[in-house]
Parts: sequence; C-alpha cells; structure tokens
Amino acid sequence: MVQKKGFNLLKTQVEPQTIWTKIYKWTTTTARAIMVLVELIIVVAFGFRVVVDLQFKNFNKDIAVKEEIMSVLQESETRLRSTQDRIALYEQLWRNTPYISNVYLEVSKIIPLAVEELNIQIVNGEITIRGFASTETIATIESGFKNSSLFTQTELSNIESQGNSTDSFVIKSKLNNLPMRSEVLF
Amino acid sequence: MQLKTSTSQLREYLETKQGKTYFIAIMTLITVAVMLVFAIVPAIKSITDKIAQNEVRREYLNALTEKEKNIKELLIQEEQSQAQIQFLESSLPSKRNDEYILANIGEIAAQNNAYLFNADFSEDSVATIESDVESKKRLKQVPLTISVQGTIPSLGAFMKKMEEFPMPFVVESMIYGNKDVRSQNLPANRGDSLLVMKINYYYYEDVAE
Repeated sequence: MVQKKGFNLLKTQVEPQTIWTKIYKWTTTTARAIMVLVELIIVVAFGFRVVVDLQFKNFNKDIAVKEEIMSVLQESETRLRSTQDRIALYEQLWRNTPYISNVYLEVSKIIPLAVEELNIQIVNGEITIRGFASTETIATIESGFKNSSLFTQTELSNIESQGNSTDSFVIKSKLNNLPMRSEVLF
Repeated sequence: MQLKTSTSQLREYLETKQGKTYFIAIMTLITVAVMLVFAIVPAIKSITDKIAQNEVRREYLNALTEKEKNIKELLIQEEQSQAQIQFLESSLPSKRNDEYILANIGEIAAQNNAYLFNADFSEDSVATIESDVESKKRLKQVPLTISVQGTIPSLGAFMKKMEEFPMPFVVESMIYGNKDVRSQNLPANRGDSLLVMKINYYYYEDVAE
C-alpha cells in the first residue's frame, strides 16, 4: 500500500490561551516546581531536626548523669570551698594585720631602765609614754623617738618637776610604717 | 453598578496577554510567600531554636564536666595536703575554743619567763577585715584581754613569740610598764613589769562540718 506524502504551508492556528489555560499551565509547571522545592526543603529540615533532636536527647542524658555525679560530689565541694575560703582568710589575717612586736622592741631600746613608774600605752596607732626620769633621760627618750623611723609626730606633751632629781613626763607619738606580719615573718 | 463595571474591566484586563502574565506572577509570589510563612520559616525556626537549646545544654554540660574535673583534682590535692589542712584547722579552728587559746598563751608566757595571770574573753563577733572572700561573715573574732607579768625583755620575747604563733593573734591595744606591779601588789619575783593587751583571736565557723 502506497502512502501519500504531502506538505501544508498554512500557519498553525493556535487557539488564544484563556486565563484558565494559563492557570493550569502555571499549576503544572511553576507551582509544581515551587512545591517540589518546598518539599525538598521540608525533607532536609526534617532530617536536620531529627539530628538535633537526637543531640538534644543525648545532652539531656549526659547532663542527668553529670548531675548525679555532682550531687554525690556536693558534700566534697562544700568542704573544699570552705577550706579554700578559710585559707584565703587566714592568709589575709597574716597579710593585713600589723606586727607590733617591733614597736615594743624599739621602745625598749629607746627607754632606759632608769625610768620609774613607767607606763606605755599603744592605742589606735598612738603611743603614750608616762614615767619619772631625769631631765637628761627625758631628752634622750624624746630624741630617741624622734630619730626612730617607727614613730612620727613625737611631742613631749607634759613635763612636771617633782622637786627632786626626777621629773614626771608624758611623751606622745604616732606609729609610723608599722610592718605587716607577713612582711616580717616571711 | 460601579462594582460591576470594575469587575468587567478586571475580567477584560485579565483576558489580555499582559493581564494574564501579571496575574500568574502575583499568584507565584503569593504561593512563594505562603510557603515561606507556613512551611519553610517554621521548619527552619524549629531547627535553629533546637540548635540554640542544644548550645545552652552543651555549655551547661561543659561547665559540669569542668567542675567535676576541678573537684576531682582538688580532692586529690586535699588528700595530698592533709598535714597542711590539719595545720589550718589548728591555726584557724572551726569552733571557738577559749581553753585552747588560754593554754597556748599560758605556755608561750611560761616559755619566755613571763606569767599569764589573767585572761578575759568577750563575746565574739564577725571579724572586721577587708576581704572579698564570699564567706567572710563566718570568720569570727573573739576579743580577749590578757595580763602578763615579767620583765621588759621577757615580755618582749613573749609578744614576739605570740605574734609568730601560727594562730593569728591581732593586737588591738596594749599597756605595759613597771608602774602597776607595785600598785596591784603583784608578786615581785615574777618580774617588775606588767603587760595588759587587748587582742583578738579568730575562728572560722564552718557549716560544712
């Protein structure tokens, strides 16, 4: 059977697209692409979510184990903290408190044994010396205090003649450069 | 009437090629916006929120691990430093112990040829030292007035030994001299001088015990 061959030179008659045709075409192309893309994103997001959920679960499990351990160590922690605080306070007591023995020894060097009725007061950083001695001894004591680096603002605040070879006196001075215990002892 | 005209105009506009293109473009934009708002953003937000929660947990876990490690190291150090801890316990005791103080001061006096003949302990209070240690309120100071008889050199030696004593005795004020021995009718054979000191001794009220 012979088949007839031919050709058509007429332009194809394309029916103008209506809005519904456009919408249908859009639904099957662009909208589908958008949906596929969104689904892909959602699937990937789901995968990620599963991973982070697993991490979350593992963290919670690890934290529970650690908290259990910490509750066992709680008593030790309190004891250790207490020891640490105690060490720090003990150290500060040594570092921040004055060493007064130096003052005593210095005063003992300055005041000769000849002084009678000697009374020395050290209160609030001030030293007051009362006693009975000859005028020369009083002058020696006063200059001794003035020349010592441990005292400042030395003054002979009272001297009274007793009608014999001794005078009563009061010398006041302020403590100066008082060393801290840690400076002297370590 | 006006509305009907507008609707007809819109329909006519949509029939044009430009109208159809704009309509499709708007629909695409709306679809993308809806997908973003109701699907993509919530999905991503749920992940980022969870990651943030995980980060908080990771930091907490790291902190716990670090703390556990430190405590274990400190426990080892504590085990190795028992002698020093015992020394600390005797130097800064956890309880007020006036008898212990009295015995020690008396012993120091005796070792330096001085004689402790009076000790007066007062009520304790929170120590007044400058410190940034959290539990400094547990450090208590006990005011104490002591009277020691001896010679000027022996009292000096006593003071020196007392200040060198591991337990920190802090001198608040002192009066000494050879005036009061006679006026108070104290035995002259114990020395010609009298030292009266107001001192503080300290203890750390330990709640861990």
